[in-house]
Amino acid sequence: MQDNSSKQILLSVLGVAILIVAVVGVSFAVFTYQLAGQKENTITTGTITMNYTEGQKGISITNAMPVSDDVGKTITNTAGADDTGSDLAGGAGHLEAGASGVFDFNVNATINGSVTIKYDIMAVKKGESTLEDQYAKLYLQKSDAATMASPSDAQVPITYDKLSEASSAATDAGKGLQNAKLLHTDTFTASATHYYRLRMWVDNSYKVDKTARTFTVTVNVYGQAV
Amino acid sequence: MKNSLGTRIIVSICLVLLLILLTSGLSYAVFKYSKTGNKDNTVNTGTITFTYNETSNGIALTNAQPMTDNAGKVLQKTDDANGATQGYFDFTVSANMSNNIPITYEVYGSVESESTIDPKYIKVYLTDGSTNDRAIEGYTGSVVPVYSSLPEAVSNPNGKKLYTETFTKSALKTFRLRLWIASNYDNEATSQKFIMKVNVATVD
Repeated sequence: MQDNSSKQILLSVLGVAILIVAVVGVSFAVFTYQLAGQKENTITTGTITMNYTEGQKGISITNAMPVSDDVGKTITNTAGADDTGSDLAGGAGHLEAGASGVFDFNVNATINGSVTIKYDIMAVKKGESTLEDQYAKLYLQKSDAATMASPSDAQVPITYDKLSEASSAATDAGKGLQNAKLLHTDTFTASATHYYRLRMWVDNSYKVDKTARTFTVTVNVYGQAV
Repeated sequence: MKNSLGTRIIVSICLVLLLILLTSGLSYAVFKYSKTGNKDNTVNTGTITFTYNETSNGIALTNAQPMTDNAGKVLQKTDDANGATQGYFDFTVSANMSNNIPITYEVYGSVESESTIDPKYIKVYLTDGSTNDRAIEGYTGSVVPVYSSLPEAVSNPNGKKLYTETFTKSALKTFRLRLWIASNYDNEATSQKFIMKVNVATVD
């Protein structure tokens, strides 16, 4: 009986010792030596900031008639010129005074360190839209300049129904978005600003009738380090 | 007793190890960014209302005799006992657009199956229905065309095009149609008839 107790005590002590070693990480050495180092080994974390900045005005086109992509791609960003606004070329629609025919925005990332950030530009259709998805055309251009000089096509003209589903987004937040489509996915590997211009028009397959219809989207941006 | 103590020690060690694993596992975070846009981007479609309106009764020529173009051009409305309007048929075509775009339309005739007169003997004459009753384009020549000579309608291969035009803005156009039997028609022993309807369609 005495042996059993001793064994139990020994096991308990051993268990506690293991516990302490596991938690504290203390190591026991027979020979001890100590010298204070001079060299500093430093880790400084990198920083990432990201911003999505919308332009002053969203697109607001009225009396839009179906037009070809060639016409739609030239929709001006000139706001309605006078008190009565102005007509867009080719019957693409009308701009009320002060309204805009395009939507400009930019996405900026400031990165210190080595990291890749993917981001999704999502088009979210508003519930009050009455124009069918297959008749709303969207077109997204991208430039490295705020003036949109030498733009490239981030998304060629495409009807809303044919945009990629949110599940194709690169970010977790983008993937989970409801009533949304993926406009464009891009990447930052260094600090930069990407400038975008969105245009919308009525596809030329739409048959105009006596009923006015509306289509509205907002643009969300989601980023994620990979 | 020994087993109970040993079990408790093992469980304690496992719990501590689990605590360490959980803590270290939660300490890793991925950069994420999310911003919802505030600007609405909206396109509102324009509207078009296109109307063909028959503003009088149809032509009803009974016991009609062949006549010259000069006589046919001035056929007037005469109400008979049945209330039918003879002589001419008035109608309008209008477009009401919220935005000015070109809309091309055609007015075309379609002959009913019970017609028995050869269309080459039916004269067709269109005017603007105004006070001056001016002949419109295609009917200003010295010889009024017969129905069979009219071009095929674009929107209906079985129809004959009476007139075509492009509206470039909201507009209303009035028409007056006259039909008569050409002077070279030989009357037959039995009564014959020609029944035609007027149709309007937009074309690309």
